[in-house]
Amino acid sequence: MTDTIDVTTAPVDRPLRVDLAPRQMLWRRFRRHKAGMVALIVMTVLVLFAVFGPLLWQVDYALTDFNAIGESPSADHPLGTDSLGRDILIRLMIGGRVSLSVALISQILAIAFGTLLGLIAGYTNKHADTWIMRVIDVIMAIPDLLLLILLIPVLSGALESSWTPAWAVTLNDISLGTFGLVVGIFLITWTFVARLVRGQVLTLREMEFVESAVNIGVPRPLIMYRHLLPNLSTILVVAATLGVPRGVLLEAGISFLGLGVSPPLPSWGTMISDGLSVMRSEPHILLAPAIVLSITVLCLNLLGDAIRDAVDPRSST
Amino acid sequence: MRGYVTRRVLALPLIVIAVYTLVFFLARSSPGGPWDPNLPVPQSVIENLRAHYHADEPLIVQYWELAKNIVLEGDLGPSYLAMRRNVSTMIAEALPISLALGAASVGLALIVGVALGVIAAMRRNTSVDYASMGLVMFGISVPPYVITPVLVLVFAIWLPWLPSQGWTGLFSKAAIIPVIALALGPAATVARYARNSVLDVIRLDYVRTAEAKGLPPRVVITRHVLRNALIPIITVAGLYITRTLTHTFYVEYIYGIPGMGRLGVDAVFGRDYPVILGVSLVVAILVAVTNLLVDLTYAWADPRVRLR
Repeated sequence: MTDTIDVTTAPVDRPLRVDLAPRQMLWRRFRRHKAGMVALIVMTVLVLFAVFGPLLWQVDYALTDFNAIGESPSADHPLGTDSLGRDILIRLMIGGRVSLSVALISQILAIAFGTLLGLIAGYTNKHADTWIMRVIDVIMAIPDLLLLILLIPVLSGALESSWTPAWAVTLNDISLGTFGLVVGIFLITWTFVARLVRGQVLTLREMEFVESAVNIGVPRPLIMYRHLLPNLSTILVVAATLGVPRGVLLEAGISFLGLGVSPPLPSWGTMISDGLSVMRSEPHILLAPAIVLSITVLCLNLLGDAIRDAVDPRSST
Repeated sequence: MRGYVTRRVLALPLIVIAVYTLVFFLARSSPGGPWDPNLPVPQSVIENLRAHYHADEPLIVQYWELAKNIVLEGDLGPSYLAMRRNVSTMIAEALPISLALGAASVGLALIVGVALGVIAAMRRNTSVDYASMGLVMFGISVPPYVITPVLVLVFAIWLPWLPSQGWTGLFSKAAIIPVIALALGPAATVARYARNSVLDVIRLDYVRTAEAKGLPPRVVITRHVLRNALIPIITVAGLYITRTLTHTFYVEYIYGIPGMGRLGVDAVFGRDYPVILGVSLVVAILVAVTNLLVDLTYAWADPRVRLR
C-alpha cells in the first residue's frame, strides 16, 4: 500500500517546544493551516471594510438618485448604483456591519444561554434534563429557516405591543430595528450549543477531579463554575466557529425573503433579492452582494476549520 | 431492536403534536390575518371573515377543531389569500413537485459527493485532493440564494442554453438548474464525510489483506472500502436531507417552481398563516420521518450498532 508512511525515512515534524504557553501552541498550530491564514487576512480586510469603510466613503446609504438608476461602476459610484439609484459600495459596507453584527451578537447570546442550559441539563437533576432536552428536540425538529420565518413576525409584533419592556424597544432603536432578528436567530441556534455542552458535561461529571470536588463538599454551582466551565472552552470555540457562519447565512437568508432588516437599511440578503429582478439588465446589482457574502462565509468556514484543528488536533475534519 | 423501533415510531406523533402546537400558537400570535382588529374593512366583513376562519371561537377551541380536522379528514382549512381554496389541496399539488426535486437533488448529491470524496481520499495530499476539497468548501459556503441566480445568469441569460425559470417536470431542461443548485450544498457535505471516512477505513487491516491478495484497486474500493466507509454518510443523511428541504424555499422561489417552498414563501409574503401552518407541519413530519428512517437504516447497515 502506497499510502502508509515509512517511519524510517518520513520527514519528522519539528517537535513543538514543551515550554510554549498554551496560547502560543494554538497559534503555531493555527499558522500551519495555510487556507486558514489566508481566510484570516481576508476576513480582517472585510471587517475593516465594514467597520471603517463608511468613515472613509461618506455617502448616504438610503439616498435615492433617480438620475442614476442601475448605473455601472464609475468614479462617482465605484460599484455602480442599484435600481433605486443608491450607491452599492456604501450599502455593501453598511450591509456588512448589519450581517456581521447580527451573526456575532446572536451567537454570543446563543453560546451564553446554551452553555447555561447545557450545564443545567447535564449537571442538575434528571427532570431539568428531560424537560430541556424535550424542548431542544422540538426546536430541532423544525428546520431552522422555517422556525425563523414563524418567529420573526411574532417578535416584531411583540416589539410594537404595549407590554414590551422599554429596554427592548430602546435596544431595537439602537440596533436600527435588527433586535427581533438577533433574538430570532439566537432562539433557534442556542439548542446546538446546549446539546454540545450537555454531552461534554456528561463526560466531565464522571471524571475524578469532579468527583473529588464533590467529595470534599464543593457546592454544585461552584463545581459548574470552577470545574466544568473551564473544560468547556474547546467545545465552545468549536460551537462558535460553526455558529457564526450559520448566523450570517440565516440573517442573509431571512432578509432575502424580506423578513429581516427593514428597508432602507441594507443587508447582503436584501441586496441580493433587490438584484434578482433586474439581473438581466444590471447583473452587478446582484453580483456585488452575492460575491461579498460568499467570500465572507467561505472565509468564516476556512477560519473555523483552522481554529478547530488548532484547539482540537484529533478532530481534524 | 424491536423495542427501539416501537418507541421511535410512537415518539413520532408526539413530535408532530409538539410541532403543531408550537406552529399554531406562533402563527396565531403574529400580526395580520382575519383576527387582526385593525383591518381597514367594515365590521360586518370582519365578522364574516372571522366566522369563515372560525376565528370567532376561543383559541383553544380553534386549536382542538383544527387538529381534529387534520387528523380525521386531512383538512387544513381554507387559505387566507386564495379564500376558496383549501390548504390541503394546495399542498397536495405542491408536494409531489418538491419531493421529485428533492429526491433528484439528494440522489445527485450522493453520487457526486461519494465519487468526489473517494477520489480525494485516494489521491490524498495531491493537487486533485486539494482541488476537490476547495470545491467542497465552495459548495458548503455558497448559499442557494446565491448559486441559483448565478446559475441562471450564466446558463440562461449569458449563454442561452437553459430556461431562466419555470417547471416542466423533472425530466426536462428546466429542472437542470434547480437540481444542481439544490444538490451543491449536500454534495459538498457528503464529499467531506466520504473523504474522511474512506481515509479511516483504508488503513484497516482487512483492506490491506484485500490488496495483498492481489485484488484490483477498483474491487478493493467498491467491495471492501466503500461498504464500510458509507456508514457515516448514512448517519448524516438526516442533516443534508433537512437542509435540502429548507433550501427548496429559496430555489423554488427564485426559479418559479410551484412546489412546497414556493408555496411557503408566498404564504410568508402574504401572511397566509393557514398555509404557513400546513407547510410547516408537512415539512416537520418529513424531517421527523427522515430522521427515523436514517437511524433505522444506520442500524441495518451496521450490525455493530446496538439500539436499545
